Amino acid sequence: MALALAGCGSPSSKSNSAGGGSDSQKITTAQNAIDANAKGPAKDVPGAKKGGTITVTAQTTPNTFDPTDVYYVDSNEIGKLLFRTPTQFDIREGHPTLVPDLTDVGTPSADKLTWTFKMQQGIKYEDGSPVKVEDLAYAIKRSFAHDVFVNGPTYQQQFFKDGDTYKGPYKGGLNYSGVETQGPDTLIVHLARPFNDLPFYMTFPMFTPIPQAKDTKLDYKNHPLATGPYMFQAYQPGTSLNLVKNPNWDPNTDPARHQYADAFHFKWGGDAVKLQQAALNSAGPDATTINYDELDASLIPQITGDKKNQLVTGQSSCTIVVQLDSRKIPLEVRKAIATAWPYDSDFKTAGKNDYVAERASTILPPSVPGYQKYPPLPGLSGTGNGDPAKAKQMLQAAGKLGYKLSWFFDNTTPLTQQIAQGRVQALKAAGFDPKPIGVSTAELRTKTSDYKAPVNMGQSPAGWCSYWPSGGSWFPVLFQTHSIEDGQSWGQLSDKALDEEINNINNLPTEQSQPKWAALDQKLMGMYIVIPRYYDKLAVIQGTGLGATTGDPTMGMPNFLNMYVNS
Amino acid sequence: MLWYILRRVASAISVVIVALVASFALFFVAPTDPAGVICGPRCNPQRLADIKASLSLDQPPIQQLGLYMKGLVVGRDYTNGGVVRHCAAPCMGYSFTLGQPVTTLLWQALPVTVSIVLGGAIIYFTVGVFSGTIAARYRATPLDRFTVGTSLLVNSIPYFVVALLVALYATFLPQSGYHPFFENPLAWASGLLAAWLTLGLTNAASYTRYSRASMIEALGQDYVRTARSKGISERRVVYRHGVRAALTPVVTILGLDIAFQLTNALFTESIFGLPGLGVLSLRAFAQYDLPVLLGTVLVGSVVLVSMNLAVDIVYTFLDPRVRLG
Repeated sequence: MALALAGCGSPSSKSNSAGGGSDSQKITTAQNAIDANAKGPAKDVPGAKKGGTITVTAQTTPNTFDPTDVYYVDSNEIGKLLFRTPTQFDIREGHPTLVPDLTDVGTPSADKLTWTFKMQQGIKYEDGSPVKVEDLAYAIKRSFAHDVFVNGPTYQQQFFKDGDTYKGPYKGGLNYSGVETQGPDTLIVHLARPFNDLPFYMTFPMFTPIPQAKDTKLDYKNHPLATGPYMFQAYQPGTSLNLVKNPNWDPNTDPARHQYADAFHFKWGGDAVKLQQAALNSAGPDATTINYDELDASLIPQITGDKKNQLVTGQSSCTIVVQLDSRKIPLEVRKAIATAWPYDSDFKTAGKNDYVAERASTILPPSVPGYQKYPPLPGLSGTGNGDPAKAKQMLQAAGKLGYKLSWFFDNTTPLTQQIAQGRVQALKAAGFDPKPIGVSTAELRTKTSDYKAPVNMGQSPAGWCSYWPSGGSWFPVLFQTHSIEDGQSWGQLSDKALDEEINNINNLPTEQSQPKWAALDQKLMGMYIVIPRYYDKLAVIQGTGLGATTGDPTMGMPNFLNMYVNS
Repeated sequence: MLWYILRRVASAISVVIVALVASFALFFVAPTDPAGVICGPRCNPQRLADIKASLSLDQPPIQQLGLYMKGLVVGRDYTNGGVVRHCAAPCMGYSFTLGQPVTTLLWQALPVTVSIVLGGAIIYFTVGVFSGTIAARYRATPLDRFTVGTSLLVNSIPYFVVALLVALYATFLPQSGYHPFFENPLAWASGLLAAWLTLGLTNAASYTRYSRASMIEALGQDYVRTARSKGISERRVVYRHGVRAALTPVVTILGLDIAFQLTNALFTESIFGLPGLGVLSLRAFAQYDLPVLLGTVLVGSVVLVSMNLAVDIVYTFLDPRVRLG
């Protein structure tokens, strides 16, 4: 049922590609990179050939291609073929490097409340009309029409000047103080508070230019104007999308994209396992097909010999956890929970394997700058099956033997029932009194998002994926006091000193903030507010007729921009 | 006669309305979470509330039902944040997850399902009637026993097992997929061939038995004996006189079967990756996409009720002995 592809991260070595060779490769640590001087054309992919049609399949359908409304990783990644944005990520050796795209990477003012972006000239839409800086400004204004485009991200509402009151061009008119243009090439963004990660945020599709005269509002999603290497040819919502080359895309202006294939043919629906098997068999047109559903465990025995070259691996930006409510569970008990946690059996019962997930021991996944592989804290290594005897001793020492633990779980599927049972057994053996509460799939979301519910662990979010590769899209969101009211808190922390510490780090330039995020990561893990389960990885299957495909770690998806037909 | 038809039409419409209301009620009685599905894993209460409001899920269910019914008859306007969309009648609303008009999604899916079912029907009707006729003509011979035995064997294997086996292992067949007929008739046919053969040959077993029984009865009629006694060849007796009479009940079953299969092509569509009405409704069910669910219920109930009505009306013309009262 997932509209939400919660990102897969996959580890990969230097090649970070299909044919990465052996089994599950460890995630490599990302380096933060901004290449402000990058220019088009993008560096050629070794061995890439032009021509052919790439077929892309998946079971789940992207919900929209309106750039203002794009939120999930599938439409985001496909959007990179269509939409150029002020800045973009160039994936180099498996790591994301921020590069100029339509504009430079931006220049902040001294007080960091004004950012100036210079736009390239001569960029055209698919219909040959010129892209104007006013179109960039209009797209930003359009993103404030959040009651029309409910899915899109909302950081602009928090950080942009008057972002909390402006309602977009349809209701609020075109006068908006948060964005202005000067001359034919200057875009100025005014902020309500410093936002050092703004250039990273500007990679989102909602910042792609839209001419006001061609804004068909809720129909725009059926044929958005392309500025990227591909454009819409035919679209059947929910079923298929054909993209063909955009004749008005100039590679010399684009440092992040290629236009190798003649066309992309997206097909959605159908059973994921069957689609993966078809790609693995590579008969006929399946040879030039890639399926981006998560690799099914049943196919792993087939991935041997030459078939290993059909496995596309890559990084993702998600960490999956079980959180512990610090308001309700004392620290000593939280430590005992971690000591007792059955990481290995939990991982296996959940159907995970080393291709699609890597055991976690930190908050930030390794693909996000700011990650540091410090020695795991006791009980938080993400591995092993727990030490019930030791956990019991810890409870006894704290005078908390028989401590009640409760969480909500989905009692309608065998998988989630088994996971719950495994945890109950392990926690009981450690001297806890676990009382999980079974609810239906439909009720689970409501129950787990209620921080006043009568449970003390397992509330949502049960994981987090970066909006952009920076600690700035993690710690301020999940660990400040406002996070509880926002319904996006890990551990339900409410500590003014911690709030200030996070704000201070977030206000630093990117290169200064990274080591501080790493230190903060370790400090927060030391509070034992989350049980780290795993980092998502990318592991998908492609046909034998495609070239070595790399992963996009910012989305946990195959990097369509570098794909080519090899046969 | 006219009065009879009008009464039946009114009854059919009321059945469709009851089906819609029941589906609507079930959606709100059962635990569903359409806004949550759209909100995704990084959901927060504000975003969830925004999504609910955009889908009008914050309105009372009765009001939502009333607006839906109004839309079917006279159309309705949807207003979000200063943007007004007019949805002309019969307005079935917009998909919660895709934001597309439900009528568009149904129009996309309907040709796929119709293509699957009609193609399969041609095969199972032709093969079934032919083999049933042969079996009846050579009744009590080894050929008859073989035909009956084979049909029984085929009937005893669950349909989805056969379909899965074909989909996974019959790689000599063209790859299944839907291509619009008017774009490329050859691709349309080759993409549906696997589904047609599976649907056709598994259902042919039933039609073999229907046809055989009906043929045996027809060949025992007085007019057939008369034809034989007049010296007409056995071949002509069977295929010109016997088959025509035997076909009437079989065609009746065919009509009802087609209606049933149009609303139950889910297995075939899922297994062969064909984006028809069945897959559309399954996805809508999984994602709590109420407008699409109601749209598929509406289409399905209209098809079933219409086919039943058509068969009843045609029967009154075929057999005047059928009472109309």
